[in-house]
Amino acid sequence: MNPPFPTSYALRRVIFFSLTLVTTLIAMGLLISVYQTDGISPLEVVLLVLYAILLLWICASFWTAMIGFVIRLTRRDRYAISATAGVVPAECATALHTAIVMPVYNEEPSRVFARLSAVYQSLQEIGQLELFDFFILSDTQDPDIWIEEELQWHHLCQSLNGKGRIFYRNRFRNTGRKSGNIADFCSRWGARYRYMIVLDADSLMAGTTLVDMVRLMENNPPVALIQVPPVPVNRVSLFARIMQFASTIYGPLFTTGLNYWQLGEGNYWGHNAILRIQPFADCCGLPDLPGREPFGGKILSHDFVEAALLRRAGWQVWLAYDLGGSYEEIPPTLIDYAKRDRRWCQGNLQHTRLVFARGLHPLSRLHLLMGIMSYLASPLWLLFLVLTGIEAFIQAQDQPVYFFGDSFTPVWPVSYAVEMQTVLVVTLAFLFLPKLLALLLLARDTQLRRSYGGFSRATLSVFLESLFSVLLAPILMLFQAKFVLLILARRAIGWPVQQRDDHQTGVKEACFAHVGQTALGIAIGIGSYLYIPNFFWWFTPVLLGMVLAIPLSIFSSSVKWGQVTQRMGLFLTPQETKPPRVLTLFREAIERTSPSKLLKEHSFFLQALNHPFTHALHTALLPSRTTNRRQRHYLEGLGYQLLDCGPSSLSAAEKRELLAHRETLLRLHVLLWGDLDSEHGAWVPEATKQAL
Amino acid sequence: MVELQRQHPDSVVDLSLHDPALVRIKAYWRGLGVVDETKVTLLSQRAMQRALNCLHTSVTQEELTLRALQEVQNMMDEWLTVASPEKPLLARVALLDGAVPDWPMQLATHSHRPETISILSQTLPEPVPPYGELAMPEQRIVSGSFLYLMTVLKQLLLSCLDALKRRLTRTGQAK
Repeated sequence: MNPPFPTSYALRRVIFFSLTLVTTLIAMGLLISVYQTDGISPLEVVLLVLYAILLLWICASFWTAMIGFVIRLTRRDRYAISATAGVVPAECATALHTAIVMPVYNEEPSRVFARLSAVYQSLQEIGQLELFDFFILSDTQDPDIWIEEELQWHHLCQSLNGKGRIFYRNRFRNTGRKSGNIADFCSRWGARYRYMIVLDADSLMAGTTLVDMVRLMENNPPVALIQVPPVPVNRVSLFARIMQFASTIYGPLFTTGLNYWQLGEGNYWGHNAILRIQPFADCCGLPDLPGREPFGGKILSHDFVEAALLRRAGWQVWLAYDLGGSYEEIPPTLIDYAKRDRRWCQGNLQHTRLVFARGLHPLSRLHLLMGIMSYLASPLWLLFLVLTGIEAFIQAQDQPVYFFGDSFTPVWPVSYAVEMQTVLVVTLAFLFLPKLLALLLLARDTQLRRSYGGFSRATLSVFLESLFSVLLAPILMLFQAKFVLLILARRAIGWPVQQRDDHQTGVKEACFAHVGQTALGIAIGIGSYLYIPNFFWWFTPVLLGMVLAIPLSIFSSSVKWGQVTQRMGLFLTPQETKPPRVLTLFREAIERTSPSKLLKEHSFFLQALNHPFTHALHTALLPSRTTNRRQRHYLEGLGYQLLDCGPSSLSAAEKRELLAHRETLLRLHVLLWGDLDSEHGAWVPEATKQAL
Repeated sequence: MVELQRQHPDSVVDLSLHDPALVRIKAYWRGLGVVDETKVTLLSQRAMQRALNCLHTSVTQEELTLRALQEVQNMMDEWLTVASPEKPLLARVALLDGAVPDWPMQLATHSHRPETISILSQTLPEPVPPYGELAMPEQRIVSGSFLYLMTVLKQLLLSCLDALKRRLTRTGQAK
């Protein structure tokens, strides 16, 4: 199916993996030379193994950034997929229909539809709208959000004249979660389109990027998937602004370097990517994994697996790292970030079942392994630090012996401080050098420098971001270690809804989330200060993060401080200094999609029952469902419960049941309007009150 | 309990006996967007009359109200089924959204202006396009065992040895 890869592809991989391996071996050699003077103890063997694994991980990351830096500096990459962009022939324009799909699950509808509106208008402005259809694939289970989504969809179609181009459907049961949602789309409408662009509920993409993605696919028939790395935007809390800054300034180094060695064996990140539908449908019907959750059952992090399956079938998967115009929103607070991590952690650890699955490409296995390692690294670091502490304690108990036997000449203990410090410096250099390289790139580009608020402000921001990341690292390490242990103990965590809007973390919430970390930090601090004081000072950066977890979490969630730093010109990103058109369109659309403009009742649920237009819209969008006698009685009971005791007496699932059956809804609609006795439950729908 | 008067559906009758029900029906027409009070009264009376014709002789005011409200739905459905026979539910959305401003007049007079049908067909909401189905077969993922891992490593080793042997052979031939 696909042409063989050029030999230079192999050369790139040989260079990258050799550099990683050699650097790791050198650093390991230094550490072994320290340990082997008085023989290597079993504890030291464990420490060496742990350090080897962790250093390999750090080295791979470092060399990815380093290579990315060189490519960015020289501006030469022969194999960038973006170099193959051509022009879509006019006669193909209608045949190349592409579906832009946005799977949503209980997300805030006003923001979801504002994003879709911005993408739509962005395409409209460049005159390429006819290439695309838009699908909001709702898996929403919350009754109020479901109704608001329908109203927002109708409002959007009206305001953008998007009838026949913007579509909406809600699945009653969200089988298979996001991957099931996409699979449902493919099986129903897949044959209508050649490509689909998958957006997340927090994704934004510029019209030009979307058209470029279609062009790239059209010019590269062996390619089944092109991922465009999303840049985080739009958040204003201090935590999110620091993360946005870090991701925007350092991210390009890593994505460029990643593409250097992965080439056509890239990965899929679940959104902001274009997929060729036919091969996707042929190769990516995901099976359930044997066993029960968290390792068995539905595949949670489906994206990595889908990329691996496409590659297994011989299709290429690319990362278009230099296309731009691809954005997403990140969690606004440290706690929300950790919650998202917990979800991802389970999905990635589930991949342990797949790393050695038959027929996968070695690089696909590596991607799966890297996903696992991004979470497994935390408990390994924790173990490494604990064992280092124990080793330091053992060393502290040994008194140096200067005279052996009858010898009068003293035997001075050999100091390996230089080697130890070298190991530490090397590790720190690997971690922090990419930040300096990013600054170097900034220094040589005037326009880029300005977009980060100038070189001095960018440098100060990098410095402050580095301090913040030092404090943040142990907190995230403890969070992730806990998640891994919980999952290993087979405690599934499901797929909770994300809180995406900016909000301040309260003292109670912060204490609840971080009290264990703080207590652990204090206990280790006191213990190490009393028994191994030398180790204590080495350990202070880690301890500081743990002890300050609560204030750090509260302070970093502050929107006020986020805005203050923005006014000071700190942590600025190009998207903040000169917002791209699609972000401006999004901000304008937010005004239009305010839920208050659509809400006519106490709740959207009630509005669907009572408000004639909302009721008509909802019933028109419902698929026909047959019910048996038992279900009809159940629904009738729920209906009378609603009438007698009010909407608050029903659970969200019960409300959803009522909303999902057309006949029940019609009956309730009539009952609500015809209820002459307004004493029941002391609630009267607004629409009825107004009309009376 | 109220005693019902039975009349021809289109005839105007004295409905003051059923005032509480009538108030509700009028309210509902207003809720549907009918602003002209004459039309509200006319359509309400018609719905009431249809309800009266369907019910038994003795019913409560509430039963009568519910039946009349059901008749409002039926009146609209009948009218919409002619205006948009394929998708009457979606046509109702377009209608209530103001696509045909004079629909109460047309409903009251049992008429359909020719442009009404075309306007409705143009303004019908389109939640999803026609299906274009595609099979998405479930893939088989066979978890690799330790033995499989060893096999992969063995293959990798053999291919490396093979490449090395070929290279040596070529070098030997060149010499």
